[in-house]
Amino acid sequence: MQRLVEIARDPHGALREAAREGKGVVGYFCSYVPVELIHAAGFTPVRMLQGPPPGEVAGRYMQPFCCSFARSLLEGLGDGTYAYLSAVVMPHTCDTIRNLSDLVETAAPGTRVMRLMVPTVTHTAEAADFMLAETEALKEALEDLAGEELDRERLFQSIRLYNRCRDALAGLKGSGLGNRALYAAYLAFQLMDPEEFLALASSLSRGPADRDARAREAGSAESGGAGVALVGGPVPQLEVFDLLQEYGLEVVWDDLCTGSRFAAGAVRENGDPLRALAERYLGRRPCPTKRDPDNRREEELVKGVAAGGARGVVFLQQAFCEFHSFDYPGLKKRLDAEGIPSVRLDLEHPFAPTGQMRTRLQALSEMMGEGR
Amino acid sequence: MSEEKRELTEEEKADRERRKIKSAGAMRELMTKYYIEAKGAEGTDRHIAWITSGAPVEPLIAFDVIPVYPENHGAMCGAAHMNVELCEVAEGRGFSRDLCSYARGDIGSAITKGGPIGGLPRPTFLVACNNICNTVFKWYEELARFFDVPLFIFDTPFVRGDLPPHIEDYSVRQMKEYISFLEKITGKEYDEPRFVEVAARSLFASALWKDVLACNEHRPAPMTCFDAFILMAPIVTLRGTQEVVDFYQALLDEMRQRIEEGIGILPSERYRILWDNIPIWYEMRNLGKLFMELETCLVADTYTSAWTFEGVDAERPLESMARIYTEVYLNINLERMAEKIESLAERYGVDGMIMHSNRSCKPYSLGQYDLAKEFTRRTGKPALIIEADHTDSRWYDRAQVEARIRDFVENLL
Repeated sequence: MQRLVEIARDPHGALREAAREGKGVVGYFCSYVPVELIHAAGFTPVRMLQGPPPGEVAGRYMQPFCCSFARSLLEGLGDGTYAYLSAVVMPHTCDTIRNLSDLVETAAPGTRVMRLMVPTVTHTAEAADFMLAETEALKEALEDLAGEELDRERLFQSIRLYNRCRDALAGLKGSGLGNRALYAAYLAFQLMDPEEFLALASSLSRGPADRDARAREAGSAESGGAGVALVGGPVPQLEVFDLLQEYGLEVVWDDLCTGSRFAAGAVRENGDPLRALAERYLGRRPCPTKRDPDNRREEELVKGVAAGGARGVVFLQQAFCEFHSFDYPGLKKRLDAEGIPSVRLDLEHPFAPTGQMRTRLQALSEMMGEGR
Repeated sequence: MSEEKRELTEEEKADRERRKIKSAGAMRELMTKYYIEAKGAEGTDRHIAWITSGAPVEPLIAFDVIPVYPENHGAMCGAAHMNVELCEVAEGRGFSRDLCSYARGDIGSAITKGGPIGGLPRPTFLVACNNICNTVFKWYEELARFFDVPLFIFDTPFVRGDLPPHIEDYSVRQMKEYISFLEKITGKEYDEPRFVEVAARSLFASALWKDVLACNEHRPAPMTCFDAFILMAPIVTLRGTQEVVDFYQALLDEMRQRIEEGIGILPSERYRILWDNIPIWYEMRNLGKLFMELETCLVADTYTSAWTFEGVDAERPLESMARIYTEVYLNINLERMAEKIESLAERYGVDGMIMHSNRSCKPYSLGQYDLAKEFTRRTGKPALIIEADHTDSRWYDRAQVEARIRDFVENLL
């Protein structure tokens, strides 16, 4: 457990080491990037989640009304934090990241940028074909980087490996690990070699578990507490989960970009592997940057809350994220109608729990207590 | 700026009258007629579609649907100083103040029917194209839920360099999907000759608009960007109709006449400036006065030229339109944007550029720090970045912005 927490807190040390030993590392920006392709091409895929706090580089290229998540990544690319990466895959998910993929060229000259245009519409045949074409283009860019062709069997090996990792992660859910340990595992999955992750995650889920001991090992409070569901974007800071635990809130379901939206849903292990990847990534539970004609996010939130036994919801949004901000009023209205209390916390990097956050969590905790 | 109220002399009155753009009256009439017709259609059998400014409107005209533009309405609400109260309505419903103020104002107006014309007529369906930003599809999803009407999203992937074949194919297939959507909604069949006719008129009007803007290459400039921001309303809202062709033909004739007679829009034109980004709608009057006082004319901009389309192939009208709408200014990479501002600077002979860093528009604003440097590197001219929001005046500091503009202009040349 300790190793997963270490990786989640600071992935750069181990990855730099791996890069020095000749194992190429490719960074990627969001959960719509098919990591299996990167892995099959011979690279360790690492999610770019937390660069240094936004500073001089970000200030030179980006307005302060852009999210600190994007500003931090540009800072890290510009100041050399990510110099160990062989390439960066940047999908066009939101307007900020889209423009950022241009700015990287001047802020961090020499960075090899691969772009992936994930369609905004996900439910049409045209979008499926477009996603396939983009996946093929990414495969070609990775082959070019690797200097060799990526064969079908290697791609299926990576698909199977990541599917097993997702299964192992699913096995950890609901096992009472506590917030910190569970989300450290989620984050580590996106930040390390998948084979090592699989070995660690499998050992955790084997045998009669002393769950509280494992939770203590992860550095979090003992498991247990009132169940909450989380909704939001990337949440790379373990301190956020500690804060929830402080108020007796244990996460039982999530719709987070670094949580189940990344990990849920296997890739088909037969047929055309590229189409299988395109289908899985386009067909997964939509993130707010995607058109959602059937209101899946709202319906699955209500179902998830019921299935997980959550008695409240915490929205965790990056400050300035317009997509989550657009969805918030509708989701909240639905929760209110269902009698489910919720609060919203706006996150910035670096994370510091504010008095307002504490007040809101205290209020939620009390509302949940009253609802029993 | 202190304003001494005094009677103008007869000579000054005559000069002011001579410099006034006469077609502005025709435009007001055209837009009033359009809004009266659109509002009068509410509740009738006629379809009304709310549509984003960068979306293909020609199919709507060809299907006899009335297009209504919330962005144009947002600009009106901003210019009338009424958008903040509408934004506050949306904010009261949980929409963050960091969201686009066009979107917030429009949601507020949909709820209260507020604004200078008593809100927009209720739509029977919606069309959004993300070639201008991704905010629009979230905004329109919200509208679709609010009005409980169908929404068509035209998804245009970002274009870096030349248009790749798979993006073109995706756009063309969506154009066909759009036509099927309209057939289903209106119960009418697609009439290609009619569509070609509409597309040709749209293209013709857009070519006239391009020629109108090009008139400002002349010294003194016959109009400023502030005029262009107003005079662009018909090309945004009604392109594809004959009235718009007629209007821009008359406007072009007037501009050419002004050039011939040496009539500039300002009493004195000392400096020429390129403007970047959407106007600060609530501040047009004050900024107009300031620039006049500084003998500075905003002669060109990156905004109004977004509606100058080229290259429709009459044999392949849908394909041409799909390509045109995918490659608009806000859907291309910074390198292509830098080429565009460099070309504008050269053609219009500008002395510098002012960029509006617009809180409400990330795709337009993010990259400006870099573009400003690139502009200076390529042209040797200075650039100034001012902070504001296109229709939320709460983010605007007039004293600071005016002081920075004064400093900038005083240091030109």
